[in-house]
Amino acid sequence: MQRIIGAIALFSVISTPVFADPISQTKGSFQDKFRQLEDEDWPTPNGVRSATGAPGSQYWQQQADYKIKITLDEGKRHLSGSSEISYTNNSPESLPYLWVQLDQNRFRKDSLGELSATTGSSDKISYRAARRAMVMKSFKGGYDILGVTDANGKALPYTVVDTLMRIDLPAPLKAGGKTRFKIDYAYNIVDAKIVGGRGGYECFTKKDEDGNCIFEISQWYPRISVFSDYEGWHNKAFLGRGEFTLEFGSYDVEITVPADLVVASTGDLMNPEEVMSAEQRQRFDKARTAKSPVFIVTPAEAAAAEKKKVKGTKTWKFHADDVRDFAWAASRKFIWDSMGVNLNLEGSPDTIMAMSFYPKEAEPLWSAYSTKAVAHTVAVYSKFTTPYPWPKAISVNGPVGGMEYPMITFNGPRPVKDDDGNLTYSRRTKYGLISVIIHEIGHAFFPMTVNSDERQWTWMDEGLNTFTQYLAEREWEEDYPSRRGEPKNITNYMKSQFQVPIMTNSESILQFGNNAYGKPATALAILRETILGRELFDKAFATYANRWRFKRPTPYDFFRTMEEVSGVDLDWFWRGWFYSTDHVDISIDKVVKGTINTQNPDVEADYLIERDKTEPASLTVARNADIEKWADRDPSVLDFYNKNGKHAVSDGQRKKYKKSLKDMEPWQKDILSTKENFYFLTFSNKGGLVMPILLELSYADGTRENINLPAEVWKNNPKKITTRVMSEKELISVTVDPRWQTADVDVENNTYPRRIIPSRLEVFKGRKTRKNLMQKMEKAVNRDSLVTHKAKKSKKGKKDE
Amino acid sequence: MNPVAPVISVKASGGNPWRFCLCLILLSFALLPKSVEAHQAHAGITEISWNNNTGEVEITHRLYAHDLEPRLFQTPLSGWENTLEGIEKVGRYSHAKFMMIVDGEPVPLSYVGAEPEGEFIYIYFTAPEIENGKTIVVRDSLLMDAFDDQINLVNVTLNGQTHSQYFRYGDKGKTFLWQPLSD
Ligand SMILES: [Zn+2]
Repeated sequence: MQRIIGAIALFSVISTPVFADPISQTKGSFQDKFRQLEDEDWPTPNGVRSATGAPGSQYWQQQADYKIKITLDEGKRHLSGSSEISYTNNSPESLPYLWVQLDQNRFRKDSLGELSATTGSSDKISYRAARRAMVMKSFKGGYDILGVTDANGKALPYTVVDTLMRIDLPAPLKAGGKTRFKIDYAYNIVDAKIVGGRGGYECFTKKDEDGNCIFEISQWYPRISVFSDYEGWHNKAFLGRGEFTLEFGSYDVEITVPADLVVASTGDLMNPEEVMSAEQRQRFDKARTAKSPVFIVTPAEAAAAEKKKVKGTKTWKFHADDVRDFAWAASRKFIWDSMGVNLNLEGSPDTIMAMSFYPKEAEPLWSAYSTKAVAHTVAVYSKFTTPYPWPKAISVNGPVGGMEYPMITFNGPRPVKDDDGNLTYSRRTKYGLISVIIHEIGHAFFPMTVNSDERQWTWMDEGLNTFTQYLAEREWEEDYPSRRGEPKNITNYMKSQFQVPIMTNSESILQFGNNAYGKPATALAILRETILGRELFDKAFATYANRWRFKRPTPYDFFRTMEEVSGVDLDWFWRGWFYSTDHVDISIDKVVKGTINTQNPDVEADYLIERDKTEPASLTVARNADIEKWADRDPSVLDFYNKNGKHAVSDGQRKKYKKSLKDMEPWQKDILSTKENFYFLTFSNKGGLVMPILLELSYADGTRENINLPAEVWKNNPKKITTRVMSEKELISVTVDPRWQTADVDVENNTYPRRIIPSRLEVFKGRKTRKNLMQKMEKAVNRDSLVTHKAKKSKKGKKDE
Repeated sequence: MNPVAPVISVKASGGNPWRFCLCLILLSFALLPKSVEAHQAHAGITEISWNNNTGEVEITHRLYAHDLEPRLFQTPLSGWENTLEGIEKVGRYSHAKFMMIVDGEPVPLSYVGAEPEGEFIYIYFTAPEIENGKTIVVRDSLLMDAFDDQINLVNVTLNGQTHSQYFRYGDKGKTFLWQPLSD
């Protein structure tokens, strides 16, 4: 009895997963790596999201239009103002309350983000963390909500829940209805260099600095939460990592700042005559058609502004359409340059103004590269995705390392001052700046235009953007030192244990950079270069971007579009790269040569005799050589067979062959007389991820041939398969993935016969001796690796001597 | 530039007096520019493997150049790969921040060199053969003196099998079984 009970208990434990998945392999260990994801993970298509991956005929999304007035108190580093939000309910639901995002509340001491932060160590604190903790102790962060009122000025009840606020409406907002409400608010701006975050201030208050600040202002106004067809209200608190999910709308924003501050912002500047001098406006017009950046605020003007503060304030007025967010920056330190970009694409404005705002501390790097990198990104991304939709694209240098908003980005890299006070930047600082600008401006496309849900699916904007960044870097200059996107660089992450699939919520990801940026970018690079080819991929990728321009896609819309437009079933690819933690490791285990049996007894006998010669002689026979045998003493036992060898052919056999030839069809005769060799190649899949097998065959005559077997070769057995290759030539070696296109983690097993592949370290050792020789020959620092400029003399256009 | 670790003793009021050591690692953080993508974690990868052909244990660290260079070089930020002094500095730093221990004894690591490639810096060490079946303890605090959110992945790959551990700020040693001769 006891044994039976035990067996039942065990059964119930093992069978649990069976209930979760109606289809399951219950015998053997076969894994169907090609099973369709449709119906399994992908939601059933409906009128909002169609089976093709396009928005359905009943697609809807909410609209939120903002009128904002904000005032910066420079001395107190404090913002106060009011936002009027007009909210249109395009959903089929009626909404009794609205949720609003209060992201600044993340900086309250009692926020979920602050309280849920864990420390890596149980007894250590870093200097940075200690300093942040001390600053946070005395800093009063988060919003002061000064009032929430309806269109008639009547107070509306509201409840704050961490970084969210629920506003209860007097009557439910019906489907198709519109409501308007106003929030008055204020908050203290964080010190971005110490507290972190995606915006804040940086003040240059060290000795021999000018004492002025740069303000980078983002997540600064209460933003309506998303209400979507697949999740209803998106009310997941902002913990600091999973970024944002937002609604599109138009914005009228009035920013009041000290009169001598220069403001960079999302949106068109509506009152240039009130905030810019006549000369600056003239320069701006000149910049529209300029071939390289033109200063709107020159370095000399910025230097003069740093020296004396002007009394009074100015209000900068901006208007933006079709944006999901709004950010701005202000400083009297700003140098401002700009140039126009003409794309001649339907969907793009005639002229897009690429612009940069930066302090003198960012020179000479910024005037040389920033605006040009912006212009380049706008052009390349428009080609591969969807035309850039707005009239401007800005790169600002300040405290934030790299962050994106519609039309405006914050980018950190700066030269450093050496002991002599010279501004110095290395080759890698230069490419670091260009890469970060391409990346952040690239976010104008993903997710600012193709409005994916960043809080849920980080890879949908970071992965797609990092992939397109790779394309743009490759088009900046030949041999651009771009590494994310190259398959070989992801292998040591892919083979590691303790990974999570790409399709994992962003707060739970280990090694965020590899998981949400590197791996999806590499997967897409492989999909483009190796699986689909450029033509099919590029068409599908651009179709996805254009279909979801100003709309909100989910991962399933992306997967479906890529398959539907390319016409290629890719479920195995999504399964392997996005849904699993498998890696690529294909081994060639065996090569067997076969030839057709001609059935001609004479030919076959020769073949067998030749084959025997290649085998080593029997050891026993050899050692018995001196022993006298029976046949030596009695030759009468030797007959016809002994005379002609064991493969002797009889006349009977020859006759039979001739007769059978007569009965044969011509095609049968062709097969028998072929000179083709048949090679049987056996592969095993050690990494688990099914991928095409890219083969390079080397022949005895010195020629090579490339054959690509599709991933479907693994369909009946995802672990081990044998395939056949036919050639008249003598095959001498086989290499799998000779160009390292598939992120195969172990290249030792990629050759047959096995070749010793030197490790990275061995290759380095081999090169090192040569390198040291060179070093002795020219002691001077490599010209390309270091650029030093006198801080004062630096001038535009002389940067990379 | 050397990290110093002042020790603060804390005494709890009431109950059994207890003490613990709060180790404060001083970073020269003012010199550190922020990471290129602020919303990306700081991450490094180390590969440890047995090279059958040379009979050596190989250790290869891969760190982001824009994280390591400002930590080691105030000026010039790079160009270090062309000077003996620069290459030695990278070696001394990595030697101090990474350790392998067998039978309670540190495994002697020989520095082979370092090189930048793209956004990465590769740093190479070798170690003499380790006896089959031993347990190795790895300690990895590379760049954790610069970033408290640094996460390092260590892969030990033997016979095509990879075993991994993550290291974060404050982590102690973690173990791997060294079995290059199995199967
Ligand atoms: Zn990004």
